[in-house]
Amino acid sequence: MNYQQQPDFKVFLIVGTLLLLLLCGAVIFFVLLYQRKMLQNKLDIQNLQTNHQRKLLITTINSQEKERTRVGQELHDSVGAMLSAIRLNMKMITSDFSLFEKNSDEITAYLDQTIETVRNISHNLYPAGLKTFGMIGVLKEYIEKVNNSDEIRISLIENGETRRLDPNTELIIFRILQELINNAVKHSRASTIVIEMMWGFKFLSIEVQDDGIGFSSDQIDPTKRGLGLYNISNRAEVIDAKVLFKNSESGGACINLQVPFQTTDNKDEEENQSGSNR
Amino acid sequence: MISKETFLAVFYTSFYLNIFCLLFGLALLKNQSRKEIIIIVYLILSISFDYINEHVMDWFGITTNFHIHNMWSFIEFIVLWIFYFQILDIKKIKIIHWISLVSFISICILVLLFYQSIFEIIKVHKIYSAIYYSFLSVYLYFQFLNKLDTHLLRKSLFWQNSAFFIYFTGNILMFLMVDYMFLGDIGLLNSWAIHNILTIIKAVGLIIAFYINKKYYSENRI
Repeated sequence: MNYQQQPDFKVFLIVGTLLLLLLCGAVIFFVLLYQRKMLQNKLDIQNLQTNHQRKLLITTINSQEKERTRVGQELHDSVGAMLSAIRLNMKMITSDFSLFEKNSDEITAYLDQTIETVRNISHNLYPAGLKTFGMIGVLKEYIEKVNNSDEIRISLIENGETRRLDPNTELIIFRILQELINNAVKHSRASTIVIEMMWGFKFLSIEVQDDGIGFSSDQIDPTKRGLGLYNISNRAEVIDAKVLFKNSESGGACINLQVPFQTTDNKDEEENQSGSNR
Repeated sequence: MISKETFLAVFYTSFYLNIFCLLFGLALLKNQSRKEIIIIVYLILSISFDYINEHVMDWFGITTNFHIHNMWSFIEFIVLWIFYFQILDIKKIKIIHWISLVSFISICILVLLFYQSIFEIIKVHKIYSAIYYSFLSVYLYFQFLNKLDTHLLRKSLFWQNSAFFIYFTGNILMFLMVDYMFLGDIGLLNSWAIHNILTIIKAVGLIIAFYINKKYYSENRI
């Protein structure tokens, strides 16, 4: 090719412009691809959230139904049966008043038992002492009851300065610990449980460790875990707590719970910070 | 052939746009992160070399200004190497990045020792640099697809990467086109004209990147 044979500048301009357009087109194509992928990603996240919400709702309904069934059964089997016995005794007295003396003691005993059962049921629904004695008080009472059954030995270790938390948070923590103790009693074949509470400045750290058979890998996996552990995670989520299920070195189950809380000191500190940011 | 007036118009547009880009970056220096500061250094060097390139023959009475041009290509590779080093976070690609630096320096030494003098225009290291940074910018595009956190146009890195992608890929295509279509002075002049157009696009991309980085500083901090 010599100088005379060189293509016209117009050709050069056209080819150059086409190349530039091609490069800009590639960038625009990438932007569109990114947008599409981002949209898809958002949809996936939304779907995941919806699924999670649905699972949460199902779990809540299931737990409510389970609790209702338990309360219903308890009312039917104990309160109902005792009230029927009282009714029978009363009928006997009305038909033959001479039996009053003999049966009145029986009726009183049945009534005492009924009152005790109703108290137990209501206590299970909402621990009565929670407002007055706080989570620690109720927990100690619960531990004492379980220890009295001689099935398992629970010890509570407290470190740091104990504080009173928001009643809702205290109830949720108590429920989590109750569920963990129930799990250990029912499934872990453990003979001892150690609950260690560490009060920090901003966090309450709780470790529950037993000497049972521990968790299987499926139970620890967040996607495969059963209703009990799922319930615990959900409850923890409600109070912004972090929960970690693992096996201890000795092989038993070990559950870590990190609960953030606000004392008046760190509340003031946060308010000051947000004030200075503003 | 491109007219001298058009050529000069394109050249001065690219030169002054680069200066504007630098001043814009300096004006927003308070809200810029490390990678933006490297871009500012890059612009300072680019403008200085462009200026020296224009006047070196008048100042020193030297017959060619190719040595300045060759030196700039070398420094450009190093500065951009540092820029991309701040961004790359995968070990494998970091190793490739180090290998590219060693190979580049070796190629430059070999070319200077055995093939060409610094006073002739050296294409090998320019082509190497263009191919490598085109590859890196395409790689970064794929990396963006793995991290779909914020809107793409809000990422200053996207604008910087696009500026370098168009600039370097355009340069490769220009080398090919000029080599096949034009020869001698015409080829050189036309290739400079395209190079200057690519520089204008790069400067526009970098100006947008500075602005985006300031506006969405918290999202763009590296």
